[in-house]
Amino acid sequence: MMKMSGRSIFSLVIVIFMIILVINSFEYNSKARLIPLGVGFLVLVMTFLQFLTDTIPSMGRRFSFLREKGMFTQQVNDQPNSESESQESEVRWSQIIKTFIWLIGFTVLLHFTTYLFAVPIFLFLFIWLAGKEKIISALSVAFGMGVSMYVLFELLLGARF
Amino acid sequence: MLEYALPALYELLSWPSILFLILGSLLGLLFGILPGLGGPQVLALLLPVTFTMQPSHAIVLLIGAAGATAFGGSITAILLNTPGTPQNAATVFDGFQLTKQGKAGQAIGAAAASSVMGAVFGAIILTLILPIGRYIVLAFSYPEYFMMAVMGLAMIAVLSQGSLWKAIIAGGFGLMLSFVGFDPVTGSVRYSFGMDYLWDGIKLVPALIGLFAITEAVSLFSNKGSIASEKVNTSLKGVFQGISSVFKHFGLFLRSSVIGTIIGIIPGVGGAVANFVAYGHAVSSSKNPENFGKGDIRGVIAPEASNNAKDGGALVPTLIFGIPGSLEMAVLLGALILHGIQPGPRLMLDNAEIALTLIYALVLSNIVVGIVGVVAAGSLARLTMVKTTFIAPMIMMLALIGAYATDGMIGDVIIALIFGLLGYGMVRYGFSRVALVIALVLGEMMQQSFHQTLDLMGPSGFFLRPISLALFLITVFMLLLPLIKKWRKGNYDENVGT
Repeated sequence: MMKMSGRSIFSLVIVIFMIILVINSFEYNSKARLIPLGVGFLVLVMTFLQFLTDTIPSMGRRFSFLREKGMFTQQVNDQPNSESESQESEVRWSQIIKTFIWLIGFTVLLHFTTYLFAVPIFLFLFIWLAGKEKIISALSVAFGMGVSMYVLFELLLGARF
Repeated sequence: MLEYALPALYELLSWPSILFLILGSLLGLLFGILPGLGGPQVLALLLPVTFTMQPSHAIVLLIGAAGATAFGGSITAILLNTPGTPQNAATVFDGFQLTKQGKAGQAIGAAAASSVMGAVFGAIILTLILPIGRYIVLAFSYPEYFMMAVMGLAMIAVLSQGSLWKAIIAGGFGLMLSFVGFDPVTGSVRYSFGMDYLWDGIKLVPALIGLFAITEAVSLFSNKGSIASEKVNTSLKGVFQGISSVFKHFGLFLRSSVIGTIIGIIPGVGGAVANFVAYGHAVSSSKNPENFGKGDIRGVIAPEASNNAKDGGALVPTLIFGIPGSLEMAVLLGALILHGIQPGPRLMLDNAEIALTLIYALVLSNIVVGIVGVVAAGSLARLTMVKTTFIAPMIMMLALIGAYATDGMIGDVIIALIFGLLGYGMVRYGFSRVALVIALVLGEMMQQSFHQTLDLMGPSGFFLRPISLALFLITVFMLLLPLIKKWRKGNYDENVGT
């Protein structure tokens, strides 16, 4: 029975990425594609097996060598999550995705303005709205970081970007 | 090489090198104190800052930071029951117990002395090995460089913590990422997908910033609250008693330093392993092991000596072969390349003074933070009370602007974000970031060595040269080692059963 979890989705993403790279390899001359094709194909097969064991629990028993640990493993949480852990995992991922959306917003702001504007604005809004801190605290951190970055990059390092 | 010893030391102690060393050390101490952050993060953040510096100043700043994080992490481990970095995990066991007994000063003193002396020990071993390394290097050619890189990657996978299979996948994935862009061997542009930005390949700095700084900052932010929950005990009486305890247990200190140095030499195996192995040795070699975990000062001396000695060991493969001995060394390698210094075989022949500068800087940074840490441990530990909702966004900004400062290209910021997301997934699902980074660093060298061997010597070039063949056989053995162990265990269980 197939069970899609965060773990199996992550493996699937790597599988898809590797398929794209392997297919692209055939566009290059034989010397250019020799190593990428070899390595890419190997990684594709390995990741596909990993995806199968993550998605179909019974496959894990068949491919037990996939569970070999490195020699210095002390404590590994490599088992598929239980149901309550899955729910916590989904909540966690949603928080992470929200944070990355904020960071994408910062990147867009940075692209159209300068870092001296983008950094304080982002920090203020992010700490206040996403971090749910007080406006004064958010403003203080935003101002402090803005000044610090100006001193570090403009005055001390003379960076121009 | 020894003719550069005094000039390198003079250069390091002169202005402004000494300023950069102190600054790097203090930053490393700060990052070491904050749990969730450590050597890779501070180096990834400092790397773009060093672009406009002279190479020698940049290296001093970076190695100062790298050398200081271990002791910074021990302060948090001892005072707050939370390891500041993974390489201080074992220090918690006895360190915090000493704090609870009102002996925090003794523990901090012992950690400081062990750290400084452990770093000195590792540096001495490095200094002794490096001149021999020059002769080893001259015996190496393209097949040996290729096999060495392959063996390094195999070692990282086999000796990693966690799933061996996933570590190999991560290493292979890192290799594929290293193939993106212009191929100097064939002149082809690979995997650019029509984007001019990717013609130069995946840049190491934004990738490192994403994998380590962004990933950790995002994780920290999602765990709202302060980083540590224990109240800070600021009484540090007994510091000198702690320092003298290292001399009282000098044999244990020496053995732990040897353990750390050897583990540091093995590529990809980090301070966390050194920390635990040394602690385990201290327990097993003790006449009264039941005292460990209850505030035995030896439980602080052993792991702290080991995790600082490992830095000297990690520099051995980094400087001699250009293969990073640890994650921090992978970042340092990137820094050397960015500043026009090619690590590996030519470094020992062309830039021997750089190697000596690294060694001196490593020792001096530990001395600086040892003194500062002892004096200011209590106050510094209060930083862990700052809420993650403040610290994490600040780190994100420093990280992304650092990536942007590389070339002023928004593409670098996007790469940092992509690798940040990738890094979070890798941590969450047990894929080794170390294997990916080291493969990303080694990929180009591996590919060039491979093609050069084929062009000059043909496929037999890999197997007809004795060193290359030996490295190949070691690699195969290492990859088969887990299966061999399993087969032997299966046979043993079967025999016991009958």
